[in-house]
Amino acid sequence: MRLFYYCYGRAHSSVVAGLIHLNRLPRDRVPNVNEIISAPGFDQSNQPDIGIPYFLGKDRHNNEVFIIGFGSAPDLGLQTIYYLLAQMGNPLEWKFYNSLASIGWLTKIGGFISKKLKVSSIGKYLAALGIQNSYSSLVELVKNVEENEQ
Amino acid sequence: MKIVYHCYGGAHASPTAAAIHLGILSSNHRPTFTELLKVPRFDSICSWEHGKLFRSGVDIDGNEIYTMGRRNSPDLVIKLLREFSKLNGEDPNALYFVNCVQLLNPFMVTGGYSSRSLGLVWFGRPVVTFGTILSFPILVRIVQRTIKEVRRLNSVNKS
Repeated sequence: MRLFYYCYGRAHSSVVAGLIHLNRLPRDRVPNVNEIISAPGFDQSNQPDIGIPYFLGKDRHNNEVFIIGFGSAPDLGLQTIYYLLAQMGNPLEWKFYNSLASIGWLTKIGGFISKKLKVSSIGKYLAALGIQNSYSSLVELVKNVEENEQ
Repeated sequence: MKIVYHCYGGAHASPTAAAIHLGILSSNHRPTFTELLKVPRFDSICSWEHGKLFRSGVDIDGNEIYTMGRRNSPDLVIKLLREFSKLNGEDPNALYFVNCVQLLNPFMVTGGYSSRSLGLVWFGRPVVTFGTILSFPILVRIVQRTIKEVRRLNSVNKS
């Protein structure tokens, strides 16, 4: 099985959800801002990376975990992938989960400041604060994904 | 090689280009309304079919010809098709994308939007068909350029 967490630019919510899934970020507590900022891949992808899947690792059930950004057209992105996979093989082996729905406005504003306005120092910090606020929702999302895959 | 002609909705410019490429429409003269309306998938694609590759046929050089709608996100859709082909073990370079939207044609925009998005087929279809006839020489040039470039790429790949 191939699991994809998707968000706008695969820089914040999908990275954190993927790392929680792979147990590289904790589930039993909210990490501090420095832990989030120094998490591998956090706030690192840019506009040209939208549409390019990034392999994070394999989970304990041997599922491959990816992250991807669809920009402002997630419905079109998902449609495109579904039609391609339907022509090539079994689309049911590929699962896509929206991590953007689990986060609040603070991460979105932080992401905008970091990626669009290119003020990474402030934007990254705000995005990490927002992730802290939404962390329980992201853990919940990952647990639901894991239950679905069992 | 798989040649993918793409435009906003995959309903007008790209099916017309594919029809020119496959010789369904003659490139020597502008088509009539009736000829255009007989082109496969002309003015018949809906928004939930955007992103789907529609196979139109095989050209005389053995290339497969496809059409596709990609809204205003050609970069995203092309990247996804290349990347997920690669993840599936396919060669992403076997896909050759051709943008059919090269000139703003108000008849095609207004007619296409009315017919496909608003569902006003009675108004939109004649307008977009007229617009496509106006843009026909541009589409012919795009197809001729594509055939030439793909032949060059195929010969480079063989040698």
